[in-house]
Amino acid sequence: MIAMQIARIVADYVLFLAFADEETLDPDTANTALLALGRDLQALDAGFLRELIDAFVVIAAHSSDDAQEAVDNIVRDFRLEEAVAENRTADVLQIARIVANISVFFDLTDEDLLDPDTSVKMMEALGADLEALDPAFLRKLIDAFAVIAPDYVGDAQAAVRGLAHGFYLEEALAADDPVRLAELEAKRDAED
Amino acid sequence: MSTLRHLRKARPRTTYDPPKIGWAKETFKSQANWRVYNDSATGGRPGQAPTLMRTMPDGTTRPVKFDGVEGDTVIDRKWSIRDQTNARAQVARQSEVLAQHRLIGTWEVPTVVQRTKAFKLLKKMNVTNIKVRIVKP
Repeated sequence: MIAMQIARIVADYVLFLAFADEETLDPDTANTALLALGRDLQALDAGFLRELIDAFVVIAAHSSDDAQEAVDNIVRDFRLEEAVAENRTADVLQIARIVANISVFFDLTDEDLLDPDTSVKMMEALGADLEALDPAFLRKLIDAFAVIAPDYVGDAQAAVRGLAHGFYLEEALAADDPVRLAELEAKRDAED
Repeated sequence: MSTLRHLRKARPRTTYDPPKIGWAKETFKSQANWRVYNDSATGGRPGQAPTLMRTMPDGTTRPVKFDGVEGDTVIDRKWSIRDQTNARAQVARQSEVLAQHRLIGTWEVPTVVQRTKAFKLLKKMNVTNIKVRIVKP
């Protein structure tokens, strides 16, 4: 379930990078982002990566022909089967890093390289995907953002630290708890 | 006589030109629900986004993308609301370009929760020319 949700996030990102027209996204910037994503995927825990690869196959089967090819290529181009065979170990921190890198890409890429309205659109999709994650996993992911933030510098570090706030993720976890929601709202108002 | 005097004072109603909508290419290959939602905005075109030209302080212009057009209103469909740097920058951009074109914008969101977030974000940013309504997917 979680692998499928993360696979959808990654697939949306790959399809955007692969098919955005040049007016929307600079091609060299897209290639750089794709390579960075490949490295992040290769570093995943072998068991989770196996689930992710299987999820990509399912997503590809429900995509148009060219999109299907792009999703299939994730596995081939990034040599993910080989990465599984190497049986690396990892944890939620690496998934957090993938999500953080996608967010930093959309939030901080220069307007001349990536259309700002399109980047907002992609982040809105990502936000909804994160809100829909299994609550226990989302809790781990939120905590992981704080752990990995020091690995980033400057605006990127601030962006990663602000992910839970920006995507209203604590509110998503507290959806059935009106007292907690009121606390979060008061905190948000105070921060403004 | 008094009626005629009243008519003399009446000023003609100011009329504005219809919005000058441009169209920009927009390619999303995702089959996810958010893409279907964005593509189904009233007045939208597949593979294209309606745009308004924003005049920058130096006189140059840049397009601001929306998702649909309905009469004098431009529509932006928001699958989720965020409170992040580039999201706030977009709010400022949209509000400015709407003011420049004397238009009102509408954000269409899928749920009550997202509408509440949208209201609060727009209020915090003192934006009054963007309305919010729920349009279910």
